Amino acid sequence: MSSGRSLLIDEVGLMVDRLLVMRRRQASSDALRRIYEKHRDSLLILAIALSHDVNVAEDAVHDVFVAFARNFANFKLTGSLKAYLSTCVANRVRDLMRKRRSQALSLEQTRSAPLDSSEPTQLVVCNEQLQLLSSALAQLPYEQREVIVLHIHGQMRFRIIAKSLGISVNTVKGRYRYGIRKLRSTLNSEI
Amino acid sequence: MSSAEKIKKLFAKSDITVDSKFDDRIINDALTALEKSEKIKAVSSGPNIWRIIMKSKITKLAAASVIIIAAMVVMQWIGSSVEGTSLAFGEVLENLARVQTLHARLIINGEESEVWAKRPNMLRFDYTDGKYEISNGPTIWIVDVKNNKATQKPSWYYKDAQRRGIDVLDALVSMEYTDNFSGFFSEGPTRQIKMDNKLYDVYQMKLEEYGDRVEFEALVDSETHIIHSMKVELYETTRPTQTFELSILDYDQPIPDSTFVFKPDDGMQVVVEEPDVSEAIPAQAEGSTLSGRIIWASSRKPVAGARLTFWGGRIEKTPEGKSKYTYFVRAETNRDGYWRITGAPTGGISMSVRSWEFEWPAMPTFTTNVGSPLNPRIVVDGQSEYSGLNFKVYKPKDLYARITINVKDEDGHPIEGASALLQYAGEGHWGMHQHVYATPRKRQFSGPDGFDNASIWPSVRPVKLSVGPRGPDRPYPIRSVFTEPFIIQPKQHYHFDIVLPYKRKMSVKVVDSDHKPLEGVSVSVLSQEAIPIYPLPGRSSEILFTDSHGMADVSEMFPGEDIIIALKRLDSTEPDPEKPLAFACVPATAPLDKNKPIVQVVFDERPILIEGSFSFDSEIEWALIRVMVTGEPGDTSSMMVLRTKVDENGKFLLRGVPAGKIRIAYSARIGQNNLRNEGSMTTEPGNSYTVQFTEQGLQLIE
Repeated sequence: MSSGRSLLIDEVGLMVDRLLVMRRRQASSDALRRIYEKHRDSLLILAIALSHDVNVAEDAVHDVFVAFARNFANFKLTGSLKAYLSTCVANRVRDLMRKRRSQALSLEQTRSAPLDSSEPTQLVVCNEQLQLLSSALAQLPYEQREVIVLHIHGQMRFRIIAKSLGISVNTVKGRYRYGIRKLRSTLNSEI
Repeated sequence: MSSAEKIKKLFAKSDITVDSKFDDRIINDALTALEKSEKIKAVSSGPNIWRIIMKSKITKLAAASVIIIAAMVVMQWIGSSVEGTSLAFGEVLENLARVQTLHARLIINGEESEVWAKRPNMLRFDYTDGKYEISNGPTIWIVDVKNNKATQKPSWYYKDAQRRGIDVLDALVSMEYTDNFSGFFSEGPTRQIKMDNKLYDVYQMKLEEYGDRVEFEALVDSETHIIHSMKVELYETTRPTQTFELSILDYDQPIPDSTFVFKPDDGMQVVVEEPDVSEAIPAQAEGSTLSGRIIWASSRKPVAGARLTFWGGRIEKTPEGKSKYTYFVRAETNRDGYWRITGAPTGGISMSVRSWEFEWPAMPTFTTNVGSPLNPRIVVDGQSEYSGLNFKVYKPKDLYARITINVKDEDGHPIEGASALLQYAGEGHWGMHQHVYATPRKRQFSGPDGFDNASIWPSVRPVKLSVGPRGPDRPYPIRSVFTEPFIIQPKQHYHFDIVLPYKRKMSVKVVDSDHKPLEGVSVSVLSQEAIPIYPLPGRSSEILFTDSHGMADVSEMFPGEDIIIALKRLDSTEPDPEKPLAFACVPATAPLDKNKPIVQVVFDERPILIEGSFSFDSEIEWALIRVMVTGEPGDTSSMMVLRTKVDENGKFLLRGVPAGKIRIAYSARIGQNNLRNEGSMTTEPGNSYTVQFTEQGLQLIE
């Protein structure tokens, strides 16, 4: 018996299944690729500005995209994709920095990759402005840095930042104001 | 320049150079993760042609479409433009699900076959080259006439249908409802066409992505609303076009069962393939998925925002000591009336539906073959998907019945201010009765012309109307009467002429078997439904004893009423009616003649004792025993007469057990389980019995 012709649900189903899964996979992978290409630079800059560490930034963007792909099929977006990914990256950077800090403390050594490093393994290289920006932001507590970067670079409104970080709008505004004030002296001397 | 502006400027000028290795690493890892998630998804959903086309694809594409932004995906319901009696496509599919037999032509990519389907679970495909398949129940025969070969296998049609809890006939034509796709099922036809002098509604759906598209079209008989044909086309940029067509030739025509029976010819090579053992092992047992739709019975439009509650599994105790089901979830219908729950465990899943627009009792009626309006309970295997659990609900105005009553006394005078109450019939005890919701006030009072209530909910169980005088300062010495049990049908008008008779006094004379009067016997009178008549329910703490002549006077009687006289011998030092030394329920009739008000009853007060024990493997945490009278003579169906607790050794003692047929029931927590069981036995005065509850039930030892 020719299985391809007679087994209605089984064979045709499998045939269509293969076809659709391939197509769907194709469609999904294309979509993923497009999303990655569109947002890669912005997210990397955001991660570098937040972490002042290229390795952390690379890992954060990597982790966010892999997690995003894993949940791609069930993903339902209610707002801006850029804002969503930016928040994910910011959260991941925070986690990685916390993890590395505890590792560093336990190993009594640091493994961060300075931005001006010319290590041969470095896959992401920053320009001068980004290095400057990152150094300036590194003077701030992470909470203030996060709000400034998400608001200015991520173009997220305070209300959205507050919602995604689970804090009040006034707290967000306060962190932003204090952060900007602190940056004034640093930037005046360097720009 | 402000600090913020400086930072903005720096961000604007920030740039990075990214090595392609970095991109490769992220994209590869992301695609691997995507593939893994696809595989998990694929394992959980088996292949089914329509499901694959309609569910998986569109769900996936719709999910993706949110991300890929609207410009890349165009999902289009080709808007409804046909007015009149046309149905939404979901309703058309429901119509098809009601047919008993189906005969259709199926063309897949130009390859044609003829299909016969018959409930239960019979399917046959005949192909143009002489090959055919017969799926009958769990077995399929694949027959190659040319090569004189037949293969017997487990039927994948049956397996697929079983997994979804439906018949293979439904599996052949059903489509899955999903949130993403439900919009289409709510749509009406886009146009009508005439073919062979017949009018057809045309339903269409189109989905596009990256230049590829899926087109769906169904022709539906405008008169019968049964599908005439369905066609799905997949246009791919990289692959040949795929087409699937199903044309229904006829339906509900008799098809002999022999069509679905295969007997190999002599000399035919027969191959029997055993079921794949690996398939028999469930891949994932994370609970069943249940889904369905709620529509209004009258308009057949979806009920949006209805609140559904589902419960099942085991009952277990919370740390706070409350009992709760291990499975308890809530769901809400979407705007198209669809609902879906997951994770349902093996066993019966009960459900209730609420909405601000309707009440649950009696209203929903399943349109599929599960549950019932009385007990909407869906039995699931804790693994498969059960779709199409559809039901309809009614709006109050579609249902209200009307009851009118004229209330008069024995002399024919209308009684003003009588009250009426609807109660469920046959519960046997006053406290067990339930009110039928009539209005928020529940009670209505008759005016000078009698009683009239225009808003009565229909009932699924028999009810009876209780009519009586109002309040303690009742204007007449009369007692409530009940109507005969009846079921309230929607939109019906019921009228009753009620005569409330005057109450009479009655004297009960209690004698022993030698007709000697018995003094100090507690007497109470019950109606045939075991509702206390005297003492009145509100005064049940009062105990009436016979005097030295064995006499006790009771009032509140109706002439000629069938009654039960409950007789108890109480402990004289501690007269607790709940713990009698001897007990009997004696049937009697209230006297008609007010000049002869005596009713004589014989009380055999030889005590009946039952000693009992529990014999279970597991430890008994606690257990309650109840004794109910039942059966003849004079006993009501389920009146509870005794109650006791089981001691720490699993033993119990029942004193004052009534003579006759009794039921003994227990509720207990044994081991980790809450158990209930009961058994019946017949008792005689003066006897003692020993019983034992085991896992098999009640056993009489001696």
